[in-house]
Amino acid sequence: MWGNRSQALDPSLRGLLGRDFAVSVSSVGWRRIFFQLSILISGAAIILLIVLIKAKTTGDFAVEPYFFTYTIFVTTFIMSRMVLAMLYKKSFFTLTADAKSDNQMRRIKYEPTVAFVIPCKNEEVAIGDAVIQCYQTDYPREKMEVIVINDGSTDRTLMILNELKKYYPSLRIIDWPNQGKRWAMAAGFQVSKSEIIIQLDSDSHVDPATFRELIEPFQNTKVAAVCANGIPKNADQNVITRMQTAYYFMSFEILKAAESTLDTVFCCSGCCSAYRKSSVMPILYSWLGEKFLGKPVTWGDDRALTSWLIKRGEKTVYNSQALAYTVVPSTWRQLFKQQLRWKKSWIINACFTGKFIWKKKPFVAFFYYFPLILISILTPIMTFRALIYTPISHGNLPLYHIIGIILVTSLVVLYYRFIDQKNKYWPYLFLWSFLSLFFLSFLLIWAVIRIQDRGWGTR
Amino acid sequence: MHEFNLKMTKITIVLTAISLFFVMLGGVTLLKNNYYAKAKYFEMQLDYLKDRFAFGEYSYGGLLGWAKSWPDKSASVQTDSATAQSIPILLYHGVITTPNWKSDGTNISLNDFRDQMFALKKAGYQSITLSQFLDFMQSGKSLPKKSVMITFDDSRSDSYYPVDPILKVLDYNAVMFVITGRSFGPDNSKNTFHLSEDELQKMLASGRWEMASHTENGHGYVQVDAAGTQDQGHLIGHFMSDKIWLPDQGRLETDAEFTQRVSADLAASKKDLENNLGIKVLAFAYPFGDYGNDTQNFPGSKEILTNVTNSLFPLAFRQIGDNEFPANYPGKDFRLVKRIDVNEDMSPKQLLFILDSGQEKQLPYAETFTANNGWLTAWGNSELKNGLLLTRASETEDSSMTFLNGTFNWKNYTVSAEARLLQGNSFAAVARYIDGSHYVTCDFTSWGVALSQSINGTETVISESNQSLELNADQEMAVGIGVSGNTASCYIGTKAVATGNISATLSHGGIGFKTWGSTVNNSSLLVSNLKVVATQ
Repeated sequence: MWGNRSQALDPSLRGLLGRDFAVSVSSVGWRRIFFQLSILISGAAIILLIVLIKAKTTGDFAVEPYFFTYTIFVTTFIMSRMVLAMLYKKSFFTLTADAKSDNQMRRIKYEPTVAFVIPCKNEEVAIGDAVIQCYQTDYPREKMEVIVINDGSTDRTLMILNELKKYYPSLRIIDWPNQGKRWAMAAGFQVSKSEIIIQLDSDSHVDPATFRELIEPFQNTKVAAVCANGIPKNADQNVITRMQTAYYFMSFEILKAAESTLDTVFCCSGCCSAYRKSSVMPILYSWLGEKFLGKPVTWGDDRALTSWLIKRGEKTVYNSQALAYTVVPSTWRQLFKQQLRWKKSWIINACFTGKFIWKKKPFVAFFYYFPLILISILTPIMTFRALIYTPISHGNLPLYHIIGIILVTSLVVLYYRFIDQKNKYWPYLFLWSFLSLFFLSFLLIWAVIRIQDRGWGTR
Repeated sequence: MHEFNLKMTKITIVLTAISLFFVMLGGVTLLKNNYYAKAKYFEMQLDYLKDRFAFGEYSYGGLLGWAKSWPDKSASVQTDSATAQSIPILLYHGVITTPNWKSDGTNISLNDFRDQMFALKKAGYQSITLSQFLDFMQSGKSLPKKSVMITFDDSRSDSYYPVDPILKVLDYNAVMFVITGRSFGPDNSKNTFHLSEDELQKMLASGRWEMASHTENGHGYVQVDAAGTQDQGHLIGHFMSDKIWLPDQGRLETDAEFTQRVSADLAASKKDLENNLGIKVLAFAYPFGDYGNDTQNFPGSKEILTNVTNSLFPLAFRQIGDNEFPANYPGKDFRLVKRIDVNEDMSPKQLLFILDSGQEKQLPYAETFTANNGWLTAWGNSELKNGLLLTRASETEDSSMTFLNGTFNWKNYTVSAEARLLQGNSFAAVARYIDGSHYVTCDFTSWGVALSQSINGTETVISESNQSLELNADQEMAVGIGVSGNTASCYIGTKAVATGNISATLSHGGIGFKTWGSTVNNSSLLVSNLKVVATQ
């Protein structure tokens, strides 16, 4: 009982003070403490600088009340999101704490049946590895299914799968003509007999060592989906992948963590997420038949599925301990295509989610989701104003705007460093934030224009 | 447990977001108007270091000089026990930091201003305050010999931010004449050209600045006739010295209306300074330096303005004219104070020449005309050439006048000199020169010698000698003028040729020379071998 209590305190402390705090105390990590202290001080200094910059540039509340309010609103939102992320560890710990102690008391080990569902099309290079990785996981084989849906591959994918079946007789192969990824995923849900379904991209795999972390949160019966911590496999390939690695880190460890604190991760990412079958089945066909402006939606299956679960009032969470490795685009063209797809699915999904979220989860809606949507819409407008309109109409360079962006990014980077001192990709976050502001935010407009083009684009 | 935690999380995040929002909003609003949060303030601190380094380099040279310059404040204590006879006052406007700025006759570039200040400091000058000056003028309270007052007009931001670090380095102080209507009140919250109330407070707190009045809203142009005559894009009348044309009534203001208007403005400016800054207002400076002398339509304004300003302020400031001694001497006219209008066109050397030559000269006095000891041009032209003083009429004038700075307080003396009239009809030796309208002359013409006096610009002959003279352009002539008490004499060689009594108004004054020709640009005189001895 005592041991239990000390364990109970531990993660909450970690949540407040960072991931490795508990470890460092035991070995008197003065360097670590010094590091974190300096990060805190720099954080305070940056906030002061941000306020100073705002005081300097928004001399014009009377002149530009909207811009003035906007900048303060955005900064507040970004900082609040980081505060939410800081509360994540504690929230995640409490999520399963009751069930865990209950199970412990009754000496039950939580070990539900799980199924890996891997839709694939022309993946002869990656599919073998993906299947083998599933069987590598530390989980009883009898409680595990692996289902591969060959969605009309024209290469040797099926041949490889059949070869694999010789080694893994339990491997289930569904081979059908091309129907689209969503249908393939749905087939997995229908065919499987397991309680938990793990959706994997063919180029992703779960880290076998942390696999159980993906299942853990389901001990809380209200949890319908768990998102793993996505980490690029090809991080060091080039500057584009390094940049995305930094972005992934921020997006998972800060943004998804913040959402998870409120039990509402809006997108359990397609590369690796686990779902409770009993929660998915009632909405499976609604999700499958999703249409936008009269046309079926070909991408954004992950985000749509999560939304349908949220609409049911279920919890969708993120576990930063469950690691999943995936491949990120390594050329500008691929990155652009992927981002365009994501933006389009974001727009479509925002229209869908916006309709029910304020009824189902009013707090999340008004304090998180609607502000987020507002900012996403305003950002390209304000960026246009600061970088193009004002320089042309008033002739002054957007120096302070850029300094402001650097400062806000620095604040995020500081927290990034605070969470994980060893992650070396943080400088690339500045690059990403410029790319995002000067290019990707405008992509949203392009995405609106091209919304009816439901093509997948080359991958 | 989780649901409870979620609730706490929600409360936490709402409170955090609200406080973040308001902290930022408050922070921005607070810092926005905060003096110390302005980039200008940081620049000023940097400027201080730069100026200190520059001064060290200027006075001692190199890095070593910089180090030496730190405890330099002791150097400002003058060891010279001599006291000042007169106080020169410098007038500046904006100090411009923009590169490639062109001189505009009003402002000065920062580099030149710095050079002038450094030159003053190196020459041993120390700045004085308004009250020190008032005591000196009113009751002759002694001040160090090399005292100077530094003033700025119009309360412009650019006469504070670049200037203050220099004052701090040199341990100088200055007076700011504030146009109160442009600094105080909510209307000026966006006005960064003029100093704000907050900035003026900070200036006062530094101990380096004093504030005085430069009107409330009286530093402007007014309509003085039905036509609304303009010159160079603005109306020609001055708010302070002209009657305003009232178009709806088709007439000019009455004397009473004029008096009412200017006294209301000046009283308001005084009140603004007293109420907002909590100071005693010791001085007022006339806008445009116009104390009624430059009026378009109301010659009586001078007297009214004198009365109004005297009733409100112990001191009133104007700019000097060319024909006046540049410094201020204590005495009954102490209320109207002269200032040297310094701008980009004056070099540090020229400035020091005016100040140094204003130091009282001792009798007996002899002049070799090799270096300029203070010969100033009242009108026409004058220069030193090969040990000679040349004074000549300009292209627009028929006469010229030059006088010697630092002789204002001379009383009883005899001047002897050798003169050669190169062109023109006559020349004169001048004594008891107070300004261009008050002096005694001995006019030497071909028909004889005349002793005259000029009071308020009116020249009257006192005594004449009709013995004709040969004014030879190739031959020096020994001439002289002597003044003793109220008696004045003209000399040819050592012989007095005309003697008479002069007005008590001219009880003291300096020496000079004058030329006259019957046509313009046609009179010039060479002077050499000048000697002045004291008499009883």
